[in-house]
Amino acid sequence: MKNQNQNNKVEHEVNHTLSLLSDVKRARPDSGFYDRVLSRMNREDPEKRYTESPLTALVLWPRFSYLAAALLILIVLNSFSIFYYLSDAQTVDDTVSFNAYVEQYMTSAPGLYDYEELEDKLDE
Amino acid sequence: MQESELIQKLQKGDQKAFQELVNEYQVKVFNTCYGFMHNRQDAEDLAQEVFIQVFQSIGDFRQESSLSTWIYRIAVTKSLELKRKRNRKKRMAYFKSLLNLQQNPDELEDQQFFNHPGIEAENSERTRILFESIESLPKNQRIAFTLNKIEHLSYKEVAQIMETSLSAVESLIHRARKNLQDKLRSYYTQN
Repeated sequence: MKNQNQNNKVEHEVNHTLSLLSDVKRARPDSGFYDRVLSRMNREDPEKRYTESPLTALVLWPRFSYLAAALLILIVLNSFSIFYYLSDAQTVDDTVSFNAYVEQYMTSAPGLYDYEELEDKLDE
Repeated sequence: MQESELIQKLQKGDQKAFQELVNEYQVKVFNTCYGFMHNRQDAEDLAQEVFIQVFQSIGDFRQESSLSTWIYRIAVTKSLELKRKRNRKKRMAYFKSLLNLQQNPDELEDQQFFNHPGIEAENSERTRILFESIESLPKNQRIAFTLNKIEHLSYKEVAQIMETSLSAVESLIHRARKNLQDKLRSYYTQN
């Protein structure tokens, strides 16, 4: 009786273990497998260069770092210029409103050397 | 793209066709290699080698079988080659360890990674026992059983890959299953 129980238990274990095969799912490679294959082909045969996907090829391009640095410098310079231009535009706006004020209250806009005199008048 | 068109483009060295081939077959090849190696890194390396070989020797492919059969054949051959190399190395390391009275590091490493990602983690111990048992099957039984049970190929496809008859594959898988049952029975009786 004890032997029969033992055999049943063993058979149960065997069947349970074998049943794992009935629903085993496929193992999948990590993403980017094609690019890794191409990189390996390029490593093994550097004379024949196989091109990777456009993005990978760009990143692997030897002059990519120079290009990226140049682009970064251009972006910084442009941002600086835009910022400088916008602050300059603010000054122009001030001059325009000043001229409008002068036009409203005086017959002619003051010259560069009339500013001091004009300010005194305004203070009064 | 039709298979014949794909083959023609591959034979001309068309890289787009190669990308299509890799995308279509990467899981099949990787899973087959994993089925034999039980190790992610080895399966990745082998799968890459399979595609490189396919790209390099597609010119020699005479289309006597389907492209899929040919690729599976390469995957199986490469996996068995690497397995043989590993076993030889392991034997050497074992003898060396006997002489040096040290534990074999390769054996420990193998046990650590002996698993399959397609089976839930809670069954990892059973998976280890199962794959160890499959590993100890005679070569042809192991190939037929792995292709049928792990890669889910039909008996007909397995027969084409192994270049044998359908009845021979049926017999191999039947014997493999029986051998596995015996091995597992023996294991569970002892433990």
